[in-house]
Amino acid sequence: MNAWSRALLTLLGASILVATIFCIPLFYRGSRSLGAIENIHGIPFPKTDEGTVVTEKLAHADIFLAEPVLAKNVRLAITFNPGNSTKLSVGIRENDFWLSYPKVELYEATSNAQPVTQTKIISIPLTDKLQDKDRSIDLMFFAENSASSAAVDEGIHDQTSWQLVSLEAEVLPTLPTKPEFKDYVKSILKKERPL
Amino acid sequence: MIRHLLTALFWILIVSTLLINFARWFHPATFSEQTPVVLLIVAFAAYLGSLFFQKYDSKN
Repeated sequence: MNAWSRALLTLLGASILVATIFCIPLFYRGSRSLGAIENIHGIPFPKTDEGTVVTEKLAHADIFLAEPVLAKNVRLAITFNPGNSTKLSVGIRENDFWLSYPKVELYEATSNAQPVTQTKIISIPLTDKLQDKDRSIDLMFFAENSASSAAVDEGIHDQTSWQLVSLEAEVLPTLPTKPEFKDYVKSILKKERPL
Repeated sequence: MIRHLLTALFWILIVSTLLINFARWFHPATFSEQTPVVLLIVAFAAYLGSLFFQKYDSKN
């Protein structure tokens, strides 16, 4: 065997090993830890015995994954009391723009209905989502109330008040769709990072 | 025979480490931070093993 064949065989062996190491986490599943619920400036919201009181329109948390986002779904179990919110949504960051969160609706107030604590379970595909270098993904809650304006940050005029009682994240393997897979490959080739 | 296998494993692990670091340079989330370190440790063990068998072969 000459030197070139040896080099090619080594490269082939290394490629197979790297592909195997990459593919093993695709089958990982289980609950993942979450960071603190904080506002867009990184200041955590106050915690009480009944949960976290959110007093701004946008509330952010990190979900710490142990694998790449490829071929993964996150199942979120969210228990909350909508408080004075007329609409509550949640989203996971999609690209390097800081507010690129496709929203999934959690709650919409109907007239005369009193806000009660409720649990919603939603599933969000992760393949096309933005993953940070520490493998975390960004989760954002969006609240709207009758007094809220179009501004992202209303500062002291923000009248938002709702309560996050519990939040659990579970990662499950899934088959990505073709556009999701394209997005994933594009994000790697473009070296997409959170700005 | 074992010595040749360990030497081949050593080179495969070294090239794998380079490939993983290249992939991480493109997108750090593709592989964990620990993966290249673990591969290097195993490569070093394979290198020591091949040295051991080299001495063993030369004695016999």
